[in-house]
Amino acid sequence: MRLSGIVNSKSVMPERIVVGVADMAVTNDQNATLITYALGSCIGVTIYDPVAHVGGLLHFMLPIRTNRRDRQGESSAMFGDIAIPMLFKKCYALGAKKERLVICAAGGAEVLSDKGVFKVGSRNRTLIRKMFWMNDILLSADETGGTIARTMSLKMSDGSVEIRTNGKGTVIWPL
Amino acid sequence: MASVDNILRSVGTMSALPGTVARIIAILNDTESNSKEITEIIRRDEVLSLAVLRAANSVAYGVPGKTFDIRQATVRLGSAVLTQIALSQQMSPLFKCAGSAYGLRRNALWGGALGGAYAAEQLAKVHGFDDSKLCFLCGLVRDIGQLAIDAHCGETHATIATTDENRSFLDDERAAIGTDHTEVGAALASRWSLPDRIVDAIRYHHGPPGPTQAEHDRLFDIVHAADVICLWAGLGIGDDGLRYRVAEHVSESLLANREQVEDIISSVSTQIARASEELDVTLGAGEIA
Repeated sequence: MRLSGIVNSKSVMPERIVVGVADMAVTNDQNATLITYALGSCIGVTIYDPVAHVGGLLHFMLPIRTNRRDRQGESSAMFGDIAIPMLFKKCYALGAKKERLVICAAGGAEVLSDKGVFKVGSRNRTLIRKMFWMNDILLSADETGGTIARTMSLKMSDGSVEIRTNGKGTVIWPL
Repeated sequence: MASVDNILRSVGTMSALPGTVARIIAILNDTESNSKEITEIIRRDEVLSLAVLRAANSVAYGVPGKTFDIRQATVRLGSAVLTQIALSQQMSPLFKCAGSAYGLRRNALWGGALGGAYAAEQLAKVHGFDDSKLCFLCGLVRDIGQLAIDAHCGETHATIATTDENRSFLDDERAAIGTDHTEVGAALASRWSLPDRIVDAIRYHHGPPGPTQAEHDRLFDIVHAADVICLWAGLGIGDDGLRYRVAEHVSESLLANREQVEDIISSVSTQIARASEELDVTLGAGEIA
């Protein structure tokens, strides 16, 4: 499983860093844009420090990594409970400070009429709320739920976060 | 408004079902046939032989040692893996460039097809369905109707999604073009002379008949559940989003064990990532334009 990890460079040309499913990337390159496609039930989390100019984007798939799945060797970025702390630590390593972070989330959609026990979108949404609440973190923008797929991007030059769906783009931060 | 016939007429130039795939399907459908015939088909095809040799020497299949002998490679991998390789390798050219009608970029539709195949195969094994190779095939071809609509409508189809998030995307398709990709897919499969059971697995992949209905077949349930698993895994999702319904009887049976389903999702995702690395492309994650 690919894990983009830290992209610590200062490119001259604008660079698009694509974050795949179960993947994350952090950077301090102000010319970069971090982008992830096809957020369905999965959740995308962006974090951005406007002073240190450090940002990161995570695309996780499932809420919790169980002991059973530990043996299968999947990427940690697949599971929110492991991947979210990892995203923050990678940004701290590049100089980001918790008190300055702008944090946004998108995705967590559901299939229609899912009356079963699964509800992965809801459980992913519950996980981020629980984790952020326990760590005294507030979401600056939250574009989750519904039944649509979303593309999420973080522009490192100004920290703006855009959500695109069905051909239309909306900047969710800054408002 | 387009009819199924109009759509199929306009896709006349679309590649026909590859001959090798047709032969493998015939073997899978014939209970008297055995796996040696699939091995023979592969040995006669240079490109397939190369793919099999690559797989036999890949860490992904966990076979120790190296081999450059096609006979040895086919024995090492076994008939189930050989069938997978042959079908995947032969079907990929049809899917790879398609998807703009659903707001998908190159390779995303192929990732969804491959993900459905892996998911269907694993569901079959977990739930004791004895024909996992047939499940793999049906998971792989379930969305061929999207190929036909893609060829007929192109990017104009990508604008049909309504803003009503509680409405099924199939209803949007029917309202816009008079049919939907399940009906078109079943018609295309008939044209390709696929067996009726595979045609129906395509037709019912978003709405399998319930256990009290005469048409009920566990194969259709498995293909439907595999499709839902792909949605949860973020594979092949385009402008249609997650706007498909989950059949209640499938939700209560094949998708009832949360941990089991999550294991399949994570495993399918790992298989797709591995395939992406081997092919050096990004599979599955579709661009939402």
